[in-house]
Amino acid sequence: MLAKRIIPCLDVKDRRVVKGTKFLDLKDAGDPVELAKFYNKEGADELCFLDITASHEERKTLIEMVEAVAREVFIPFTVGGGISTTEQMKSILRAGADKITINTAAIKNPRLITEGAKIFGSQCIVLAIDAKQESYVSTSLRGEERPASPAKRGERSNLENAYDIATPSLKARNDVKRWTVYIKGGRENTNIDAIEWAKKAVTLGAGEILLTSMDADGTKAGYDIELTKKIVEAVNVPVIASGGAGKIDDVVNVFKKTNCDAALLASILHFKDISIKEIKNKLKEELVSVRLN
Amino acid sequence: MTCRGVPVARLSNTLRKNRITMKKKISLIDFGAGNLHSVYKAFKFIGADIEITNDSNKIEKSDAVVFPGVGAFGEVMKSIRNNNLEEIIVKSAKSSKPFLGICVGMQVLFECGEENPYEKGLSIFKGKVIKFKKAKKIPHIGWNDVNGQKYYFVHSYYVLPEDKNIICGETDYDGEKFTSMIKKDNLLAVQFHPEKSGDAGLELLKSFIFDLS
Repeated sequence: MLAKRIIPCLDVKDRRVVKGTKFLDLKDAGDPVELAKFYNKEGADELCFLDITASHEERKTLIEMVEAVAREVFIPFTVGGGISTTEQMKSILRAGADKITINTAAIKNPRLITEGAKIFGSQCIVLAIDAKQESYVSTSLRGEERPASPAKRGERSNLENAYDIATPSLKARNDVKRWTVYIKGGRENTNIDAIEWAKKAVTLGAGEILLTSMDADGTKAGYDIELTKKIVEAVNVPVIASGGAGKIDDVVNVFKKTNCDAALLASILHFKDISIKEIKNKLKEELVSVRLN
Repeated sequence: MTCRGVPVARLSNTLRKNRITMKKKISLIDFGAGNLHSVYKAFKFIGADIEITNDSNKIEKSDAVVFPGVGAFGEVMKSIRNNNLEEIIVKSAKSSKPFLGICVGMQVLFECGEENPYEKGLSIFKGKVIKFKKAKKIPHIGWNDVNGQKYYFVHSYYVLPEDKNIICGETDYDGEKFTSMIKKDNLLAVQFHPEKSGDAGLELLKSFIFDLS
């Protein structure tokens, strides 16, 4: 039986893992290779590195990091953060990463998903969606009104695809809860319906969805079950749930209450004294299929 | 790691009979496969003497051959032909040399793929490559069981061998059972990625090179 995956997420800045791992007994807790080895030993099914600076100059050090990890750790890993061209994807995949996650660039240029999938295969293209429930007052907007697009005129042609799906859902939003997609690290609301965008991205070629609930993220109150469920039901590719895990039961819950395929974990592993082993043992007890090594 | 109850380390009996004591050279066939470097790194990590090559003479002279592959059946076959590697791959796979096919490197050993029936495979085995029918989510991504051990899979297609005797591992994905490992003489081919399957994967690669030295 296919195992539900536990994926530690590591934020990387200038070849170093930031958002420390203070309880880990490592020589250097900021070394991506050390951490990758540690989590591999702990039973991580996959790793996710998010480059949080991702400026042009730092791209080279990111590639070096990917190469270093790939030399010593033999489980799949995803790299994301500021990737906007298939050339960048190629250099990261060639360095040894298995998948690329894209977010802002995919909204700005949805064809990037298709091009990436065509060259590297859908399985390499993970679409990251940062979604937030709309705080919406029904009288403030007429149903047919289109939201102000953050797009500049010159960008219109590229944006058509992604932003167009904002319209139909707007009409129906009086009676339905709605989540919109945020880009640029959660700073900009695109007004694009998250569920529609997930569906669209899959038809464009995305092989997996990495779904972060901005409402749940940082609360440690558990995953956003409702949103996760809706996205899982909307697409026929694996969905990775992210945001909100504060205790082991939260991870159990997201697998029991939704049919998501993986859970992304950050602070619960980095700051708390909870190990992947403990999480997996609990999942096993709760009859969730996991890989125990 | 077992194959129908037999540990993989004990599978290559034929080889063991011709055991050679020197450290042997492995050719990793290069036709631009996406997982080429990962496979290379995994073999290097376990101490194998492996070389990435598209030189038929080198492949011919090596003691074992590893044939990786990801992507679409048709595309992989095109790259193999563009690199003039079809003949040497078929020759190696049919020889007494240990041969390991990985992922699409397993699929193209068959006659044809469902996505493009006119693109002929290497036809070392009879049978075709088909897409998941019942499974709700495609690709099949993640860790799944092969003879009680979990390995990492990433694929949408799988092989349907005519000769059931070559099947030595099966996997269930969402109610759809498929062939995930085949073996014939010194040829072993797997649908999963041993180079990405953590310790279990490295163990499988070790058992492959163990038979060489």
